[in-house]
Amino acid sequence: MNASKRSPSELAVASGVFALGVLFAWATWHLPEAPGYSQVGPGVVPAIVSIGLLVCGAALLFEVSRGGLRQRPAAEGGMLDGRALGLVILGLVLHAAFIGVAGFIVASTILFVCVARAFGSVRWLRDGAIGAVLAGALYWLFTQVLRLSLGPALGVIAL
Amino acid sequence: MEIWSALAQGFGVALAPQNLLWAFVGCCLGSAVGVLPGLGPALTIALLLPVTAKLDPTGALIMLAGIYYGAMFGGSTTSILLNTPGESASIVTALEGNLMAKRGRAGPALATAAIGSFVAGTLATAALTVTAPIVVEFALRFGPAEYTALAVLALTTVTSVLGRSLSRGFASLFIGLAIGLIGIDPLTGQARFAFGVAELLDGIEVVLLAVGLFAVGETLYNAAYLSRQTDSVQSIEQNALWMSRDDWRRSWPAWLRGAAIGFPFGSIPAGGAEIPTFLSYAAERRLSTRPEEFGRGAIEGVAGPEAANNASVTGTLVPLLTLGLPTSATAAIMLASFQQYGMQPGPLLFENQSGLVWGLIASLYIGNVMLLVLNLPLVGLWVRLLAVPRPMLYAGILVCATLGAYSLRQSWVDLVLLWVIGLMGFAMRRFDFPVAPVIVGAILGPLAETQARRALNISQGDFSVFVTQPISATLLACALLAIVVPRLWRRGRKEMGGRR
Repeated sequence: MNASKRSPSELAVASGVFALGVLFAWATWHLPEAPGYSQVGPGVVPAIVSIGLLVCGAALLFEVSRGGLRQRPAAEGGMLDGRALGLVILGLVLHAAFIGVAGFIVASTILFVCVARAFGSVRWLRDGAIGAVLAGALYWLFTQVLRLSLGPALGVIAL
Repeated sequence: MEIWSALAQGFGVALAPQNLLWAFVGCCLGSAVGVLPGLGPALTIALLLPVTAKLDPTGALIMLAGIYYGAMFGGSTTSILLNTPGESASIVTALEGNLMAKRGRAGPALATAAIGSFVAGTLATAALTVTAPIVVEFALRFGPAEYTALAVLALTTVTSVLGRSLSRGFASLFIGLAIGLIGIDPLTGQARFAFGVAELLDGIEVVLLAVGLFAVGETLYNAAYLSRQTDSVQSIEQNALWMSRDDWRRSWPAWLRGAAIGFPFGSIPAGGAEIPTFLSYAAERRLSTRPEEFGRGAIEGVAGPEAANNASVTGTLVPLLTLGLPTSATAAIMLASFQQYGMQPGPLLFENQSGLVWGLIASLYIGNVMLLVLNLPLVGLWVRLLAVPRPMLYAGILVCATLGAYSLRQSWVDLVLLWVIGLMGFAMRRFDFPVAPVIVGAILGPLAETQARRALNISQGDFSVFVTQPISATLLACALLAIVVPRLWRRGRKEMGGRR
């Protein structure tokens, strides 16, 4: 592997771990004082975990500054397919946006079509039909057989 | 003789018609989902966890055990025919079994994997039956300090033994521990790390975490980097499913050795089933009269590791049931399934819920038989699932994943959490951060914290309590060794390789 090439994405990941450590350390710092009777309050383990995150983040940043994350295997696949990734994310966002107003089956069908498209399917009408049937079957199974709630099926209509 | 009456009582529970039905449903679901490429046992259980939320605990846990085993049987089918291991413990099977399949010996490879899993699973269940009561006796003497040390050992081994990098492994572990801390502190009622979001006060559900990391993260990764890849499924020759006399002769010692290696490794905190499968492969290669066949499709190379894998997975049930200690990601999710019914595995569970525990153990014997029947003659049925086109497969996985998240409390906040965890899983996959420490950390962390604080309250805040008691000090020393030894070992080997 080419170790001399610095990767901005590795830097982002290492900074992310460190930033998480900062965030949790800040939150631990602002925890209220422990009640007097308890020897070890609710802040002790969070403090240990925050320090752990900060140390790991710092170690990762150090590795990146010295030529990249150590012992990272060569990535499979190659080029990032941003369009496919974007379509999956779009599907997830639309699903969450629609599930409250249009119901479970509509939202799941939209998600199904988006993900299938991302993986190269071009027959979106057929995908939509399969997605709707799958979502309908799952909705029936969960609400009628397993008695779990999934909100309305279509619009505001429950099955 | 107490064991046998308890086991007989367990069979009474497991053979009740509705529990037999649950075991059967679990085995079928596990095999079906396990066969789907890329879906390992951990994700399979997590995806199906919401399904069991409203069921009777005994039936539901029997079903989950069936899913646990079934996903492994199904996973080996996929590894052999498709060379896509759903989990790292099937890497060896994928290696050697896929080579056998390419040489037109898919049938014997599948048969030796299925029969080997059955033999090793049954032997390991027998070992579990005998050892569990002994460990329970021992565990009753464990205080909070010992339990904390044991949890620290389990957390370090799952982090250190497997990953390539300590910094990335421990980053994963601390992220998992941090996720586990989110929510209301059970001892003081203090909200921690909720950042003003009311939904976070209940903590992050295991379903969200596992499904987000495995299903959503995996789908995002596949979409981003492998969306145009096509798989080549090896076909099974219809009449060649049976093993020849020579295949039998070569397989059975490998099954027994695999079981003997797998069970002890599974029952101690050693990072799960990966190490025993690799050890079994190495042992078979060394002992084989035809070592030249290894790397080109040797049947022992499938029989041994598959047996070791199953025996080790059964072995992980020993610490899980007797101590409440998960030593792998899958075991951690099983622990979460107990918690969803307000039960905590451990020595007390054997006393208070002995019908349930022994029913579960008895159902493992039954499940193994069911899976052998389901997977040997009917393997053609499961293989058809491999023909599901990738667009449909991943679309279906995401529909089920979001369904699981939404069924928790019909809140879009859970969906957003699922994306966030999914994106994290994507980044972890891309940058080679191990996932198991996150899951084990998030589930075992809170239990360990409670015990640690109990120990410290008893000792009046004196941290030396963990190193002055002999058992706890030994366990912590083991944890330290688990971090240091693999590194020294690897460094030593590198130096030796450099000298040659």
